[in-house]
Amino acid sequence: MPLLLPVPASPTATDVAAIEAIYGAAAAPERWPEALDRIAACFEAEGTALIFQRGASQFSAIVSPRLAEAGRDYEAGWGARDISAARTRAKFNEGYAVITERDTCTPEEIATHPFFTDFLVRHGLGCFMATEVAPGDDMLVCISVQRNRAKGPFDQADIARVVPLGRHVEQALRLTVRLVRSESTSLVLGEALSRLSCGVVLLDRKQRVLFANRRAQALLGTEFEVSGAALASIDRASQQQLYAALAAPTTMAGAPQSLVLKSSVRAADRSQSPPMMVFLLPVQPGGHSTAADIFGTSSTMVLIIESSPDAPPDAAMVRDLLGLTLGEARVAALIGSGQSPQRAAKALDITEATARTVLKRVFGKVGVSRQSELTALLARLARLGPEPG
Amino acid sequence: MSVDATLADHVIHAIYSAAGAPEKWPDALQLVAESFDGAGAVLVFARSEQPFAVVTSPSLAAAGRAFHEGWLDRDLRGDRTWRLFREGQEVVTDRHVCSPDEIASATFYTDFLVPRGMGWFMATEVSPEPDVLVAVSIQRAKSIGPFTDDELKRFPTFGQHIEQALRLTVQLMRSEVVNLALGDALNRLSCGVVLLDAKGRVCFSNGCAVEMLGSGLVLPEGQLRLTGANTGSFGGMVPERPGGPIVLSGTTPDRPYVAYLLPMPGRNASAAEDIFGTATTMVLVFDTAGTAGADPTVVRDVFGLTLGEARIATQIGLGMGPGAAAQALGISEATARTVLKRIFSKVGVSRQSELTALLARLARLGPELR
Repeated sequence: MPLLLPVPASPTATDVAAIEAIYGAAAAPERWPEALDRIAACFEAEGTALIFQRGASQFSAIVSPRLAEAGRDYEAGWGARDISAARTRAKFNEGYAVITERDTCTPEEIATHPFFTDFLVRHGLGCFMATEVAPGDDMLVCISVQRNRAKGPFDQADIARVVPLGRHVEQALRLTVRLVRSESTSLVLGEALSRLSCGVVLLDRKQRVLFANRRAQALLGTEFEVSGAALASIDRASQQQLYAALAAPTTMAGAPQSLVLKSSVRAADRSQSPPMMVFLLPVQPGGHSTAADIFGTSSTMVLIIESSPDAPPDAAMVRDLLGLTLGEARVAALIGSGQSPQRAAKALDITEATARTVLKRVFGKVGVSRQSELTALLARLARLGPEPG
Repeated sequence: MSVDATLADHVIHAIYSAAGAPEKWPDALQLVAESFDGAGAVLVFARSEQPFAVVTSPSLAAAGRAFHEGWLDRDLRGDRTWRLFREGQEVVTDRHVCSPDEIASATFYTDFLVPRGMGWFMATEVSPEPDVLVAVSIQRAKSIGPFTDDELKRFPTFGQHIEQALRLTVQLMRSEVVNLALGDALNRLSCGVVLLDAKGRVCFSNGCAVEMLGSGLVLPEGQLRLTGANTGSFGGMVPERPGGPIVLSGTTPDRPYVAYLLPMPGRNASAAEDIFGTATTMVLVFDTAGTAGADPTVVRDVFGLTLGEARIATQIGLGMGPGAAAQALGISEATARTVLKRIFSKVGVSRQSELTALLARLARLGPELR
């Protein structure tokens, strides 16, 4: 019978290596398999699995490299025949800190059940010890160390040692969760700005690029470049302007500096593309300001707004916004983005007369009387540009 | 040894708990100090070897203030220690930087350190990145005696953990600052943003979204809900139908809000995001009420117009005809038409609605970007 609360064991050299690897994985989730292997090494085990449970039946797992094949087999079918999983969970709920196969299965099951004799033994496993941690936000994580049957079951000393390691895993996972979510939030917000036709670049204290959204990246190479990790404009005159603005001390808190930068892009007819509005804004993190200053995370945000017109909005969106039929919305989307009825008709493969009739109906439905009025209305309502790809 | 090792485990745990919560550093430093019989520990942050910030364990808070108020200039150890770090030395203690004479009789030792329960130190460098130099030092009472070779050898292990924890702090803060900045960018474009997780809970929102709440959208108990006339079609739930706009009936009928629900827009979640959970839906909210249009000075600068031309262009950008624009500006319609012709040729358009479309982006800049 295992102890409900094992006496904490003292770390050994292998434990220290495992602890270092665990926190190394905190900021680099792709390093978790390697850290799990280090945990296994503390127990001369074959590998370790981290099993994540969200909600009643949603599981996902990260396994150490030597368990990769077993993991695939488990997912492909053996998982359904795992006689130990549900019993392990029940034992955790009873308050056990560490569970081994001897707590969940009878000696007969261990000797004869195919999950042991066929699945585990075939993969060079057979003994396990599992402990549970909770890195927060309803997430339960089971750390399961898997060892070859021939090396014998885990003993009391092993059980006592896995608990403090589990605490480190829990703390490192808490950091991983926060970092992964925060970085994913950055990508999502950056994408929102791209859909609003706004390029955004964040620069650190030394004006190195920390973040650039899709829209800004599309301008890199044609309008801007990253020269020695710093943002630069390709057009030479604009470059002078940009440098001067970046070097200027911010006068008023939160007040943007705005510049109009000439485009370096020339269209096929050699006419120059319209210039861009560029805003420079100081980033002032609220609560963390002292820490942000210590770690040099305060920065400058560059917003880039091209002065070219938006692409015509999605017809389904126009339909929903203005209460039109899809056919009316198609005409409204094109004419509402500045096209002539003649050009819109051609693009939609209808006659100009039809386009004008439909347009008149649209005018009546939305209550406008001029094409530019429809354009202004759509510009206010249809704010989202097309999805990428 | 076994007691030491268990203690070490405890200290390491405390160090990493400070990684995600910088306010926990003083207590973590205290534990590091105690594991070496120290009175306290200090983290010093420097740029070009000039210290600019210090975090001390609680026991050294008063000594730290006294140091900065009167002893900074008389510190014998600081500069000499940074020099040894620069030369590649891993751990520095008193005998590396001061003569036995200085240790015994310099006023920095006799009048500053010893009366405050210090007298010996050992320090190691823990800079998380090349830009910011960071050192951690442990201060110990004179009576306990100098740090032994064994202690000097064990200290860098803790230093490595402190360094790794600081690196995590930098990475977390950087990412969180990026998010604040992007939320602010959306504010300035008058776009409210709310991110929801798989359970419909709010995990991010910007100021603009918060201001628009209550008008068709509410946030009871951290959940985004529709109210008023909008409840009918969706039963109060935020619909899962992605992409489509929802015209929210706001508190005033002439200021409708439009909300867009987007499932993790434009990207596939990575394996790590799948496991660790991220926002699954983005809600963007816009106030669609008519604006004053683009700022004429911005229009002038962007399109190379005169201010007079830009004023007329701005009116056309609002959807007005030349007649209405002329009236609004107090000029004759004939003048407005002449100027408009000049604008067309300067900007390179041939229709009024084309000009309106061209000005749309400038018209949508929020009041804070004008």
